[in-house]
Amino acid sequence: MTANPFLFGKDPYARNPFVILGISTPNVSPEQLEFQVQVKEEEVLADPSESLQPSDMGEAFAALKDPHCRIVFELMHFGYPLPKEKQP
Amino acid sequence: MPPSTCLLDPFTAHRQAFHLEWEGQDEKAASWFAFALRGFSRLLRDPGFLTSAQDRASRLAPENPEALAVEFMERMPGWLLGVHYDRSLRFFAAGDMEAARLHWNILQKAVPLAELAGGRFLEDCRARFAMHFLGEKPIKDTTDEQQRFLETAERLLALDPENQMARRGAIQGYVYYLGQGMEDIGVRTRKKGKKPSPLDLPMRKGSLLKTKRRLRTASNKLKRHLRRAMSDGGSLPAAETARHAISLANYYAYTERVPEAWRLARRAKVLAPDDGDVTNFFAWIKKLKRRMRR
Repeated sequence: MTANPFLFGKDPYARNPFVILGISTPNVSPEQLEFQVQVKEEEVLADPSESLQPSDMGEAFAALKDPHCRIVFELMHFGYPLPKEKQP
Repeated sequence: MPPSTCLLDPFTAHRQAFHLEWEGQDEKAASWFAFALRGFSRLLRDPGFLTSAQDRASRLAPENPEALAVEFMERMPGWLLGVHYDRSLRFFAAGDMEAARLHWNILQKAVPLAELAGGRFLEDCRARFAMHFLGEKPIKDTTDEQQRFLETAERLLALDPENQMARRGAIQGYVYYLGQGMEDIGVRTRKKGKKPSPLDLPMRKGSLLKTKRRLRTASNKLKRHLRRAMSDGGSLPAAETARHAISLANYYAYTERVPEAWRLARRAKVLAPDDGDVTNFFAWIKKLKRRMRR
């Protein structure tokens, strides 16, 4: 039984992990996401800001690890239907 | 108010609802939530949405994206409704009945989404709600605990009169409460020849009056719940309803309201004609009624 992603914080849209982690590119692969999270985590650990604490990172990352929740967050953040990838 | 007709993405409408709720505009938020849920129920039935979920699933689980997308589609309605179940539960616990009712009404009205979440979704929510606040046992150790239990059951029924588990708990609780109260004021039937126990201390007059008044209120509430259970037809097992009706009739008989006791006993007899206790009580009250006529 997975957690309900719509109960993620008081406002799940504002507390969307993509928003927390500052990722604005759609179609992020799990590997790319992990890399981006690590970079962000190091930044936050070095200088925790008022808006972002290390615990926020952990919570957001855990939410993104669940594939079902991740689909919801992607739909919340990047919209429906899936935005087309930019042509090279 | 949300627009009555527009092609607004339900996610955007949902986001607006959360935003309004965050600002404390509960009424507005409720209408946006309801609007978004209607949009989601249409979206979840749209084959294009499944394709979109599969596209995303293929990046997360390339080996079996279809299964992941289907699981996601199955969970989504429960998650969406779960928000309102959770809100209702928390507001009820905090004593904010208005807000609890707002979210419970959203849940109740989202029928198409509840169908997608499984046929018994709403019933399961009701059972979980009752279980959370009433627990398993409708009988408590002390009078205060029993009163608190009954107050909670009444509040639950005020929130949702269709909660059969809460109604059953309330009926069982009132029956027990009446029984205990009758013992306290010494109207318990004693077998012929049996002397009162020396431990049966007499009650003070004020305390006796207070108990009698409380019992009268409880009996009125029990009557209301029993009437509802009987008219619902099948919300409670007939034999159980009949036995509870007999308990109330017993209280009526000992407070000299024999015609009411007789009417209730007759209804109980119709509900459970083969029940031994019901038959015995029915015969006894019939005799009592005849004796009174003479």
